[in-house]
Amino acid sequence: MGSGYTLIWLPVIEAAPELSYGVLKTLEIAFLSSLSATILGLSGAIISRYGGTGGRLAGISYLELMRNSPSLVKMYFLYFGLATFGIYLSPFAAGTIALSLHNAAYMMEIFRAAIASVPDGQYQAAASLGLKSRVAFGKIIWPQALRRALPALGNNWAEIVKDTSITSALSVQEFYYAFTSTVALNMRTYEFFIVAGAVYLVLTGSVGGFVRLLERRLSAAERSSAKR
Amino acid sequence: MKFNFWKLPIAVALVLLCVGHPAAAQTPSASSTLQTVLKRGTIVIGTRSTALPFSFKDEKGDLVGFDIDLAHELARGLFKDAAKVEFVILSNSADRVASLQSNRVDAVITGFSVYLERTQVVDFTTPYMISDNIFVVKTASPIQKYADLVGKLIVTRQGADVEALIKNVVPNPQIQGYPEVSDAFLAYRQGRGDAFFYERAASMYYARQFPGQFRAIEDREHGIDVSPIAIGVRQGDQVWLNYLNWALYSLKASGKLQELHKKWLGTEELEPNWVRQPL
Amino acid sequence: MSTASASVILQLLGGLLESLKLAIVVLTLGSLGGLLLGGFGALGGRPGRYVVNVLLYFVRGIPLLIHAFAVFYVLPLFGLRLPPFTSAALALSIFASVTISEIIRGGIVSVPSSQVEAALALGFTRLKAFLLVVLPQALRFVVPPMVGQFVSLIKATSIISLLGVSELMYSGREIIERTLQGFEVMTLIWLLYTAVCLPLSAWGRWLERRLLVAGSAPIRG
Repeated sequence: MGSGYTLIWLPVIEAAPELSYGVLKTLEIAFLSSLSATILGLSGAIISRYGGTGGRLAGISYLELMRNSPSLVKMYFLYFGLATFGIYLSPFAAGTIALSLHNAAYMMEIFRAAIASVPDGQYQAAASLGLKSRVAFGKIIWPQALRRALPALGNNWAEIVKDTSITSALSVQEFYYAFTSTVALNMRTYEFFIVAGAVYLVLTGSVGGFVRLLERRLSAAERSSAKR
Repeated sequence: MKFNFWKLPIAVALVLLCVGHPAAAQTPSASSTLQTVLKRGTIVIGTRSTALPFSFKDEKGDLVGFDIDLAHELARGLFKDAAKVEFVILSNSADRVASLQSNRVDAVITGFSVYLERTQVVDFTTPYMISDNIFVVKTASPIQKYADLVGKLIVTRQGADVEALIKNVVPNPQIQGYPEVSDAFLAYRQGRGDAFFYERAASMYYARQFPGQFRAIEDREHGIDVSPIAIGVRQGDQVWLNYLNWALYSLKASGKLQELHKKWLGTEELEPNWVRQPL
Repeated sequence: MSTASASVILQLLGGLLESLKLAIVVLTLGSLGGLLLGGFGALGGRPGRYVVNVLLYFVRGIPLLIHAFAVFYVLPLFGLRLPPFTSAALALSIFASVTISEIIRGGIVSVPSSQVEAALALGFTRLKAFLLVVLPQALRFVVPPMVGQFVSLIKATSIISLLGVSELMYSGREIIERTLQGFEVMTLIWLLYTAVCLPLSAWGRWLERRLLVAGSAPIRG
C-alpha cells in the first residue's frame, strides 16, 4: 500500500523552480534587513554612547520598545495596522522593515556592549598619543569593538535569515511560503520537510561561514597593523 | 564551533532517507469502522475549526457549520441520538488524510473536496455538495469577466493548489496568498488586491456578512474546477463507505440535506443532481 | 479610543493567557530536556559534547516555523498526532531544550572545580558530587539567563499563531477580521507583550546583579 519504502522525490524536483525563487526572495529579505538593522544598530549605539543623556535615553527607549515583543507583531502592525489609515505597505516592504527595526534594537545593544567592553587602557593610550577622540575611535576602539561584536552579530544575522519565514504571514513569497504552498498541492510533507530543513541549514551555515571569514580577515588586519 | 564533524549529520541524513515514507508503515485494520462505531456508541468525526461555512467557530467559540450539522444527523441515523458525536479538531488541512490513515477518526467531514490525487490515499462518499471556486469583487468594481482579471492582483489562501485553479482561467496571475482564508478576506476588505478568490461556499459566506458590498463574478464561458464535497473515510473500508452513502441518501429522502443547504448557503444551487432529483 | 474596547481587551487578555500557559509549559519541558542535554554534554566527555553540538546545529539552524511544521504535519505520518496546544508545546520545547542546555552547561562550568575536587576528596561519588554540590551552586548562574529564556519563549509563542493555534496573535487576528481595527488591536498587542516581557527582563537583570555579586563571577566557558 502507498509508496512502499521509497521516498518519491519527483514532486520536489518539479517544484524546484518555485522553491529556488523562494530562496532568492529569502536571501533578498535577509540581506536587506540585516544590512539596515546593522547600520541602524550601529548608529543607535553611537548615539546612545556619545549622545549625552538624551542619546542614552533614546537608545534605551528604542531598545525596550522593540525587544519586548516578537517581530511578528511589528509585521502585522506595519501591514494590517497601518492599512487602517490607508497606508498600504507592500508585504515585502512591511516584512523587511519590521525585521530591520526589530533587529536594529538587538544590534544596537550588541554594539553598545562591544564598544563598552574595550578596555579603558585603550582609550587612555590613544589619548596619551594625542589622537583626537574621533580618530581614536575609528582606528583603535572600533576595530576591537567590531571583533568582539562579530559572534553576536553573526548569531543575529542567522536569526534574521530564519525569521524571514515569518514574513509568509503577510503573503511574502519567500522560501517558507513556497515550501508550504507546494505541500498544499501534493501533500508530500515528509520529503519537502527534509528539503526545507536542509535549505535553511545551508543558509544559516553560510552565515556562520561568512562570520568566520570576517573574523579571520579582521584578526589578520590587526596582526598586520601591529607589525607596523 | 568547528564543523569537522560532517560524518554524523550525513549519517543522520542517510537514516532519514532510508526510513522511507512513513505513511507506508500503516497496517490496515481487519474489521470495518462501522462495527467499531456501533460498538463504541459514538461517531468520531475529524473536522476543522476554520472552514467556513462547513465547520468553524462562531463568536461564542462553539463549533458550528454545515458539516457539524451533517455529523449530528449521521449520529441520529446510527444511534437515534444526534448528540453521539465526538469532534476531533484537525488543526490543518494536511491532517485530514493523516487522521484517517492512523484511524484517529471514523470519518472526515469538513468541506473535503474530492481531487483525483486525494483519491489515491483516501476514499470518498457520494458528494453532498458540489462547489466550485469563484472570484469575489466589490459591487462597484469594473471587473465583469475572467479576462478582466489579467494583470490584476488576486487575494486568496496560500497554496499551489489554489494557484493552479486560478491559472486555469487567468494566465500569469498576480496572486497574494495568506496563511488562512480569513487573513486573505481581511486583507481584501482593507483594500489590498482587486479580487478575492476562494471556494464558493466559503466566499459566499464571507460576502453575505457584508450585504450589498460584494458580488461574485459569473463568467459562464469558462469554468473553474468544480469540486465535489464529500465525506472522507479510510481507504479500503467498503462496508463503512456503503453505510455512509445510504445514510446520505436517507437524508436526501427526508429532505434534511436540502434543509442544510438552505440554512448554511442560502441557496440550493450547490446541491448535486442526485439530491435535486425528486424521489 | 475604539468602540467595544472592553470586550476586545478581554479577548486579547484571554489570548495572552494562552500564550503564557504555553510559555510556562514549554519552559518546564524545555528545562527537563535542557537538564538532560546539558548534563549529558558536561559529563559525557568528548562524544557527549559532540552529540550535543550536532543537535544544537540542527535545531538552531532551522526556523521555529519549520520545527512547528514538523510536529504538526510530519509527525502524524509516523502515527503521532497531538492536539494543537501539545504540538505547539512540543515544537517549542525542542527549541527551548537546546538553548537551556547551553545555559545549564554554562552554569555547571562556572562552578569552580575546587568544589568538585573538595567533594571527591570528601568521598562523594562523581554523580553525588554533581547532584549535591555542583548543581545547587550552578543554579545561581542559571536563574538569570533562564528568566531571559522565559521572556524569549513568551515571544516565540506568537509563531504558533501561524499554524492555527489560539493565543494572543491569533486572537488579535480574529478581532481585526471582525472589526477591521488593525491599528488599535496591533498597538494593544504590542503593549501587552511589552507589559509582560519588560518587567520580567528587568527582574532577570536585577537577579543577575544580586546573584552574581556574591561569590565568584561566572567563567565564560
